[in-house]
Amino acid sequence: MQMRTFTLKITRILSLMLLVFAAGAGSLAAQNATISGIVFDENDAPMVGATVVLEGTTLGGFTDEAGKYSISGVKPGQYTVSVSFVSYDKFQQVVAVTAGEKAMVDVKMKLKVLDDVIIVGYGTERKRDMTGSVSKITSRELNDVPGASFDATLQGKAAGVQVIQGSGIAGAGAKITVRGSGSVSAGGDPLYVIDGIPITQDPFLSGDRGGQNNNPLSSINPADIESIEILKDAAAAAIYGSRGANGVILVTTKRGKTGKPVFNLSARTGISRPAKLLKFVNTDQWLQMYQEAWENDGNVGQPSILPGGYTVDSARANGTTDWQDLTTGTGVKQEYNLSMSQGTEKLKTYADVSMMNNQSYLIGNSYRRYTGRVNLDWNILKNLKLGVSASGAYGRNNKIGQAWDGSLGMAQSNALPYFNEQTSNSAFGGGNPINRRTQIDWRTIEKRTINTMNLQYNPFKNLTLNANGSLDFMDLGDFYLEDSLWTNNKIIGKDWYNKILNWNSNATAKYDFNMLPKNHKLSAMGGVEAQKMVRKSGYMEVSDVNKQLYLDWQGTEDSDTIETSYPLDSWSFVSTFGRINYQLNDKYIIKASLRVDGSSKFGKNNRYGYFPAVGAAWVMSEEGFWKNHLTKAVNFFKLKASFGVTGNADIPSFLRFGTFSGSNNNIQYNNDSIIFPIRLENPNLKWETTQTMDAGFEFGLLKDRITGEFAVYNKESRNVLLRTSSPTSSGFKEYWQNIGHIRNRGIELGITTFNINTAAFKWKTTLNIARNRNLVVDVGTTPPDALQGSGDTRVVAGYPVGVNYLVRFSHVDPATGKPVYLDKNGNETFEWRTENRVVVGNVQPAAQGGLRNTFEWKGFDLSVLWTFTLGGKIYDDAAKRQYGVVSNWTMPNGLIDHWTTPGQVGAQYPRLTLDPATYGLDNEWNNNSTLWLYDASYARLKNVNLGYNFKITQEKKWWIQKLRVYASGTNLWTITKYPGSDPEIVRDQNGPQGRNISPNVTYLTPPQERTFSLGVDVQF
Amino acid sequence: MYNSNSPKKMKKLSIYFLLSLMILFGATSCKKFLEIPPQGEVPTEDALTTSRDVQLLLNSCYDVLRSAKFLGGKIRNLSDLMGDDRDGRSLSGNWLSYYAHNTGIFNQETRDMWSEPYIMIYRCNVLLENMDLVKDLSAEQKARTTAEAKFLRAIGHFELVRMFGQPYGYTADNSHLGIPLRIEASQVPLPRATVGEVYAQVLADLEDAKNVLPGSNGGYATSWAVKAYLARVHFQMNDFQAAFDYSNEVINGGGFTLDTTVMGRFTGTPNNENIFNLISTGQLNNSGADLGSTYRSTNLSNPPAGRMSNELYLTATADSNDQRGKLFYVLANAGQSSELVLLTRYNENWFTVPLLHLAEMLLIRAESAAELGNLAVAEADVNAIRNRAGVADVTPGLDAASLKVLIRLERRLEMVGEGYRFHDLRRQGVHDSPTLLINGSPWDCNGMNVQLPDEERSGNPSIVLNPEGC
Repeated sequence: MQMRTFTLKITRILSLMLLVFAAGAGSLAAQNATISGIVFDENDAPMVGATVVLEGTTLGGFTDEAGKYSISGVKPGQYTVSVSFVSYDKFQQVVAVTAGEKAMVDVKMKLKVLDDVIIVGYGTERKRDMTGSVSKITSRELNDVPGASFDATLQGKAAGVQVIQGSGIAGAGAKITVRGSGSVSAGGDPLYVIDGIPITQDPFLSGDRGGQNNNPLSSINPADIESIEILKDAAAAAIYGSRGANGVILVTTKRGKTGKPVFNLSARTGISRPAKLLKFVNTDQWLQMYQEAWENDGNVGQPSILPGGYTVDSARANGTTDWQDLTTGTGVKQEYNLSMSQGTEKLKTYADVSMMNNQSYLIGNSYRRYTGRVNLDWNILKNLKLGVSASGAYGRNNKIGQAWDGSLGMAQSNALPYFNEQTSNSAFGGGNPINRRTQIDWRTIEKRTINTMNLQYNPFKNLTLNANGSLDFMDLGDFYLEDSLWTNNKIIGKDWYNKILNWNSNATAKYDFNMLPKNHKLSAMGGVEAQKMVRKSGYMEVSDVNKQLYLDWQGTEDSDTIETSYPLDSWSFVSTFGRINYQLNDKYIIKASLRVDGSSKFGKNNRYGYFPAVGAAWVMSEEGFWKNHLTKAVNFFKLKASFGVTGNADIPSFLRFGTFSGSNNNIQYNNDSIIFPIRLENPNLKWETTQTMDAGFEFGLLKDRITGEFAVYNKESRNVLLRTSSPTSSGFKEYWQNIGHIRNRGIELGITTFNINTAAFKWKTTLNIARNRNLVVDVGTTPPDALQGSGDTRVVAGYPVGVNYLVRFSHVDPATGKPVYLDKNGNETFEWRTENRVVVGNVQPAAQGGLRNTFEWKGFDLSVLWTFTLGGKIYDDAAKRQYGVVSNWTMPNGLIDHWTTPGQVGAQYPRLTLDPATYGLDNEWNNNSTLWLYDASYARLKNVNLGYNFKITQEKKWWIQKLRVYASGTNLWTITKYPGSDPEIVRDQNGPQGRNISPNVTYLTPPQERTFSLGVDVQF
Repeated sequence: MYNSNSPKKMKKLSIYFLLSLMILFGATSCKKFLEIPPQGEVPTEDALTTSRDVQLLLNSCYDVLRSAKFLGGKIRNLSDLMGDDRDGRSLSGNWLSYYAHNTGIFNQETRDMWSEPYIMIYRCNVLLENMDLVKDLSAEQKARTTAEAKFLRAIGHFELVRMFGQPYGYTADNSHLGIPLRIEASQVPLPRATVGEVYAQVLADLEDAKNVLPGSNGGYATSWAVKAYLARVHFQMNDFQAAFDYSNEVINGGGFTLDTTVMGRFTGTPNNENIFNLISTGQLNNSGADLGSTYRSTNLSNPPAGRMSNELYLTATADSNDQRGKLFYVLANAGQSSELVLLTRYNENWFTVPLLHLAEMLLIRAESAAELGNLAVAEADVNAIRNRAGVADVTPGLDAASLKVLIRLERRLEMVGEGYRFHDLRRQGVHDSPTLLINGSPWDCNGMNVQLPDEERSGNPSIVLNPEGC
């Protein structure tokens, strides 16, 4: 005790003396000091180009060829020397210099170990300890690409994660497939978990109303996201048991950091244009083609009536309307985000508010969003912590019907060039996207709050108890206000509403067994969880409504209100789970987990599912032989392998119940109620189960100048849920059964290289590429037509999920101009027959990935992201009408290479006709042949982001600490053989099956937007 | 750092903490928590337990009968498209396939038209099989419900077999393919029965029902409805004696009278001409919604897709006194090459749709009588129809063949847009017009039979499809 006080005193006196001396020296002569030294790496080799700075000053420099640095002009005082180098831990040392002193500070840098912390289900792990496959995407990577919704910005950033941004509609979602599709009729999307709660993620809450799906992820502010972890294999995802089979996407939001309040303000503004538009014919060209078709069919003179009820003369008199020009323009985007982070040991806070207005290039379409978030971490006691995440979002999507329902889709289909803005729009067979847009005011308003509360208690060392409660509430209203011009009657207001409450609570206990010898590490975690979803939905219609639709629901006095509430939808899960981690000597790692899920969706016979997983890893680079011989070249190497079982339960809630409708169903006959059978009992329904084997290695070469990860996997999905067909003559259309077997096999590689890593210039490359082979092993006796997707995709045993099942087009017959097809046996025929359809391609790419290069030079930073897809087919389901039988559709300007004269060889398209029978068809809509099937390969310059970081010196005592300005462009260049407008496309889907098996199908889907934006990020 | 004084106590506490959490979860009782039955639905085993349930399920059979996809519209519209009353210009898509007698397996209209009658048939079968389990069911109600269910089942099978198979009489023994005959509530895929087998079942069901039902039944099927339907079925079979007998019985005994106006059947107001109605009780319970959306011609600047042929219009207006020519039609784009002939019969916002009416009975009796040589009755009946429309009597003393031509013309004009024409033409093809063309195609070519929908085949892969093409 006495000794300690004495030492303290001495120190105080000494430092006082030093201070006096230093001050004296400073006043006496401005003799500056020099700090110099050599920077060595772990093996005592000098390091070239390391950055050396004196913190809090503008002084600094780089090490030379010999690893030497020298900082002169240092005023006397106490400084922190800070040395940094990529892949190495930052070195810091405090040094005090006196006037004229030449201080020597030699530095030995330590290689950073792969100790990125990865969020896994119900816990975290060091990356080096992982046995499963997880991709992590940080906030910086995420925010490179401007976008309303974080799902789309994952594109090209994680190996084996296929992201297709669906369309150019504001706020549109993406279709994400993790390591291939293993589901057919059940939902095939990954599970989204935000701060521990599996959120409401159903993209079909509004069906495909207006030719688009609602994106439930767009209400989450991407700027709030700290990191996204994608759990890809069973070792990682099995802890989510029955919902992990299609991967799990864990979103973690930002939290407060210790220190004074730091504010970040970012602002971004930009413009949106279509990535590509095709040209369409004018009135004269259209009439000329119609006339040609008319005469080809053996008619003479002029057609008496044209689509829309026009005559040839009245059509010509109308001139040409360029409907594409009237439906597209330049959208303006604005985004503002203000966040604050601060913290003491006791309480840390992160808060954020944001505002975004995102117009697409589609006139009348915009998405406006306001969000707010507070994340608190309160250390109530030393061993008791409370964490709270509270967020709210208000989103207003000004929608217009797309694809088949208006806007650009109509401009490319049944809005004929001789129509004008006075042309009425409906049963007459005409399309007028302007009427559609101006006479129906459609808004989707989403109010959402996602909240999590977490209590963490450490009753004694090594035991951590966690209790979590989460709540996700979404209020989604789809409002139509139909003008009297549209209804030909009173103004009608319509509201399809959805109110969804999703709550989740879990409790876990984690124990570290520290009584074992030091070279053993053992921990165990166990927990219980319950989740319930309740969805209330309905439809309300008020006629003769005030135009105040969005403010209140008051109709006028003689208005007629219809309200239908749909049956409550609800499901629940109860689960227990556990995990054991064991490590020996920090190089042999074994993990095992088990989850038992019970679900309300399944009947007595199969109520509970068991989902085990086990994984092992061997950090070979920790072995003696490796350290002796290989470390210089390969500084880190880990082998890993795992096996596990995951499930999928994403099916409608009540399939197991055989029921009748109650008599309160609002249907009457003869002024009396009715009851009727709804569903047959299905007591044997159970989870889809996917067994995944995964093996791979992680490596670091040349002191982590090159790091990477390689994995091979085999996923066997069995008992795949199929919505099989009943003979409709039995009174029912469908019956769900667990009869499918699907296999996904693949390899994936992710690699990061620091190509140039000098102080002045840095160049880093990240490449990921994945190949997945998908195979439907078995679908029982289900015929292809029983498992349909849009655009004639099917599920056929022996092929990948989602094959193009079409009649083969051979050539145009020179003599007659008719299309020549191939029958099943390859013989030529003029008849298009359903029995001649064969598998001709599939919608799954052979390989896909992303390439990202980042450069840093003198405060400039540049990131360039390419995404690419190799193989697979695109089916253009609209081309069959645009280029096919002439009827009430407009035609692309490119329809010039068609057969016109007998003997003409090699025409691309057949003779023009008004009669489907000329093409051997029953119906122009069934013109499904390989003529419209294209190679889906493309490479796309997805994003370029160029920024400049201003040098902010603290001496100037600016209130600004960091300032970055940047310019960003997306979808700048696409290399593809696909002749349509966009090879990256997903058409609107009206259910999970279509989403699973027809990703590469377009039907008038608006192409992606090309955006240019300018932004500024300020920290103060 | 931690409370090192009593680690044991802390350990205990934490175990309690854990335990209490588990109890908390346990208390919600997993089993109960996972039991979420669908709201507003009744488990099948509890659904049909009272006599009231029986009536409610029967009501739902009628609700399908009148649905937009069945006799409330679709099946009438599609059969009319296949006849010769419609304007084929500007048709496209599914309707053009029907008009061109060129339907394939992918046709949404066919899917609906196929599945809807079978949904009704399934419900009828559920009723027929489960009434024994209902304790409070009176013998009277059971008999009546059985008869009504069989009547409706017969309608379902009859309407379907006329669309998907060659007409009765196409082969001498009617061994040509009809449709799957569903007389049990079952999910088993069934092959197509022959047309002869289907008609035999239809007749058996109707015969079972005809004497059980009362003469008046609160808007539901009566014995008169069954007999009128028997007249229709026998007439379709060219079985003129039975057709005559049944129509005669209904005309003489049913107490039905022709309305004073030709529009009477469609105004929605009660009338005494209709024998059996698909009842509408408001805009939300409107049996005529599909007919309305197909034909409503109240806004000539936005004409409906259901348009009539110019040839029909010229025929209907040839006699300037004919009220039907005056009242049934309106023209859009009048005088231009793009002139459209539209029907006015279905212009009400909502209306009750007749399924059987006296005018049809008179026309069946007239034609059957002419076939049987009873020319006096034939002449009187056709004159009754003509006079009501403001048209003079036929020339007295015409021979049977000439009378038949006139009666068939009246059938066409009187019941336009009601779904009769195509089946009339096919019946005539079988009976006396082997070279008859319908819109340029032989009455018995393959394409006259609608192709079965993909949805049936998906669950019934071995079902035989119709040959295509005309």
